[in-house]
Amino acid sequence: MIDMVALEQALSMVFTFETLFWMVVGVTIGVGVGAIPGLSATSGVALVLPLSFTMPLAPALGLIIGLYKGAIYGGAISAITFATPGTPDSAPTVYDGYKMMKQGKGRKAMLMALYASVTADVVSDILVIIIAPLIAIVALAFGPSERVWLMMLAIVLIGSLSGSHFAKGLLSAGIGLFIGTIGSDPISNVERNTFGVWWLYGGIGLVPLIIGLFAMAAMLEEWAKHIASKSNGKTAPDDSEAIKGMFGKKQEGLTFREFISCRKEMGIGIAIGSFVGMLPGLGALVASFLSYSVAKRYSPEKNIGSGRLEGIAAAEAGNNATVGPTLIPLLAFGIPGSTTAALIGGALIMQGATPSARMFQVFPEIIYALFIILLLANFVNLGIGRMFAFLYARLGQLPRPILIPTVMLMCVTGTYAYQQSMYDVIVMLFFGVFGFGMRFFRIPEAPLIITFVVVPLAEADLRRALLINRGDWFNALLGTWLAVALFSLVVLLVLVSIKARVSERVARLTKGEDEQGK
Amino acid sequence: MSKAPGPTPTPWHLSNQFLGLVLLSALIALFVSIYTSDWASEIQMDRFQLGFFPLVGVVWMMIAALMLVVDHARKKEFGEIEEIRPGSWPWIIGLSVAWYAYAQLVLYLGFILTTFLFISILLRIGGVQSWKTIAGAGALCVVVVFLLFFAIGVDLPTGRVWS
Repeated sequence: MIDMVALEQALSMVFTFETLFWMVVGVTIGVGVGAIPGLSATSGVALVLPLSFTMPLAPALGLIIGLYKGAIYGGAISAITFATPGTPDSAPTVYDGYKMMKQGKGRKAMLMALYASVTADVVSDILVIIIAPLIAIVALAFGPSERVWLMMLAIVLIGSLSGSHFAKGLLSAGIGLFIGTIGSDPISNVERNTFGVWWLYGGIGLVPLIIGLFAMAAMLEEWAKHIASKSNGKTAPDDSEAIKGMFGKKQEGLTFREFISCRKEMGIGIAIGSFVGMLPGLGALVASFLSYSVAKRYSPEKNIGSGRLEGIAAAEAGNNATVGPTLIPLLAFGIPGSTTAALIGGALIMQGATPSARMFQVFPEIIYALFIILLLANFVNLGIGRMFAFLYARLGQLPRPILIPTVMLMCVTGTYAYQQSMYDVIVMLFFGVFGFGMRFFRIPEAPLIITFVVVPLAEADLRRALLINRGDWFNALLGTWLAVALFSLVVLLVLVSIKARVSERVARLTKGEDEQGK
Repeated sequence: MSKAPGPTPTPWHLSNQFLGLVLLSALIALFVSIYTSDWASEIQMDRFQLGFFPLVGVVWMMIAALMLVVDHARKKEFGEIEEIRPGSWPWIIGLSVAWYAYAQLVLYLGFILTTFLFISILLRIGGVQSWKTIAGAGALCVVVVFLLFFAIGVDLPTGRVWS
């Protein structure tokens, strides 16, 4: 049932000059961030997060969501133009996009990427608007015990589904858990695990942690690569002529018939992207690769991979369709399903609206405003992408020695501006080096962020459940049928994960034996 | 027919197994340090020990480190040795320390002057040769960031020296 008063309030919050201005700024920066290899949607959102705290809620959401959507699309620009995905989730776009570019059809490829991204975004946002309130109604029945299992489910999903090397994913999640315990105990507020450093009593802040791990670490990595390429004497190839050709009048655009002919692949991308987006820990990267490979498998006659629009449609629809659904676990349960969702959750908390199912009852106007912004940002993305793709393609050529210090400056200034605290800058720089180490050792960052956010909540809920049940562990954990059902789901998922890994190992050993026998 | 040479095995000190062992040793030390600390054994009002969850975190990491030692990828190279050379580490740490020094200097000299000088030095180290480009890019960087923060109402430090 739509609350008309709340809807009216939401409309008046969104349709103001300030909100629309910051949404346009968000998309503009986002497409640029996406188009620059080395920067990701998460780095971009992390960088603007401290800025958003000084704004009212609607402009802050406009800036962050606009940036997120823009960055996910922007990755396709450099993937098509230079065969270098601006963001990792645009990697499958390279297969067909760059081949089309070489065939002189770069303009067509670029437009397909934009239209597929926006279509997928709109459809998946509508799904969010329908599904999120329904899940929130179910979530209202959850008490501390059920929430504990739900968070366990999120952690198991992250562990079993993300990353190619399970041990490193697990290590990352363990680091997140450990860092999450630094500061004060969530129930009794007593200092713990601070290594004797007084300013760690408040714990590690999400903003310096994220800026350090994602933006600063990415720039340190770029710097290290730049230093290495300088000593090798390698220089980036000059693609200026190719870009000019792509945007010249000689190249034809995308016809409506061509766009419609890719509906099957876009449909695959939207379905997979929306589903994957709802699951914690997976995100746009998995969605785009999965959509691309499923589309390739189910459309063999289209020869995807040889420079086809259908390949671009599947990959771009797949990654953009995750943007809205990634907010479902956050809005319904207060559990961020991805790093960017954790950041959006952080922004909402800072604005005084803690994401949870209760938010639908207490702050319906914020939920409506969020939904309107989700939809509206797609059209801004369409306009900005259509008008300025040429400029963004140039942005990918921005010299590293200029780009890296500028982004680093934003990291330091943004972190300082967050609370005007030098300690935040120290924490951010520490996690910058730490994040660089994680990249060097190929340890994924996403499990760290998700456990960092989820585990303190799980700890508080577990201890609340124990207090309610007077210290009886069995009743605290398995006192209701819903808790038992969620526990069973966790066990089932762990068993399926173990079975899959054992089968994988057996297959590897068998293959090894076969090869030795040959 | 002669057998084709296989891939060169990874030196042990660059393998996941080595990384796992180093981590495991460090984590055992961390576990002991937390376990023997005064605060870890403090009992809270809900009968939880204060050190319970931090220790769960350490044990979790120890399990992961142990898996690195024994799992199927134990003999594989632990990191991006090709793209990021181990020799980059002093650069990275030096750069982070330099940014910390910058953040401290901003408080004394103010945002505009410190940022302009610092960005110019970084551009030069990064390989930009022309002083005109360095001055232009440094000034542009200062103006853009200053205006951005000014637009959202954040006051950047003006410098204690000047006030």
